[in-house]
Amino acid sequence: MAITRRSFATRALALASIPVADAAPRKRIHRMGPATTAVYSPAVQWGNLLFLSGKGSGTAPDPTDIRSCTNHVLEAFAKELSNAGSSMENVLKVTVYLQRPEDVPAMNEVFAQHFPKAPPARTTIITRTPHPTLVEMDLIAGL
Amino acid sequence: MTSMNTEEAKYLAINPNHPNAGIYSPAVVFGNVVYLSAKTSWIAPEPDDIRAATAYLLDQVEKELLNAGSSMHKVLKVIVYLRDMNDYIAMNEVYTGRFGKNAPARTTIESKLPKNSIVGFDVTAYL
Repeated sequence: MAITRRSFATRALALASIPVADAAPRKRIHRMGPATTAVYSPAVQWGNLLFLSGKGSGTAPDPTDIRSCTNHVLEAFAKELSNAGSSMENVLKVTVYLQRPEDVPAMNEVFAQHFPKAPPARTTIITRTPHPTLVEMDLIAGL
Repeated sequence: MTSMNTEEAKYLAINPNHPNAGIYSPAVVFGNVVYLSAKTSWIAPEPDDIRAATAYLLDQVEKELLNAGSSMHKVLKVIVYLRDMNDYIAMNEVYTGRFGKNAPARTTIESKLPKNSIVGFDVTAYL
């Protein structure tokens, strides 16, 4: 059947009337500036979920102080979340990667200050990260 | 009170007879999300070559995703486990671009791995 302008328009209208909610969500990348690497994305949104890549404490004001490091990483996440339309209050799950087990209590102190109400689920492990820093974290948040 | 009408999870494998069958499932689908068990390098033909192992494992990840109805460009989050962080750059060389234009979120950590594997990839994707 030949497609006339009219039949095309009718079909286009039929397609357009498919409810958007039926479409599976697509992946969307959020970044605060130009892409600095093609290796990974800082924030990946899928529907109302946000997956944030690991952030280390190498650029903390005092990279040798666990409190300074923890605060720095969580402040960086707050900015990344805000840029993607979320916030610290919507964080669901955090994984904390520490270099030294003895840093757990001080990390915890600062961590708690950033999540005063309904803190997220969390797992802490002792490991090393690519550019070794006292602490690195990654997280999943809602929008 | 009625119970929640919860969707059933699907448990999938490109190789149902994998060595750890019965312990874990290589892929679990729930709703539009697929969770893959980590692919670690002891299954690779060249288990001690970081480039060859990375290439092989990412091919295995891709097969597992396609089998579940997903694909590499639908990957949301990857955790990379390296036995030795000195392999980071070589791993990245093979990894970069493997997930399409919009790379997933990622965290890389150093870790001891089963059977002395040198690298492992843990992947979450959508369908």
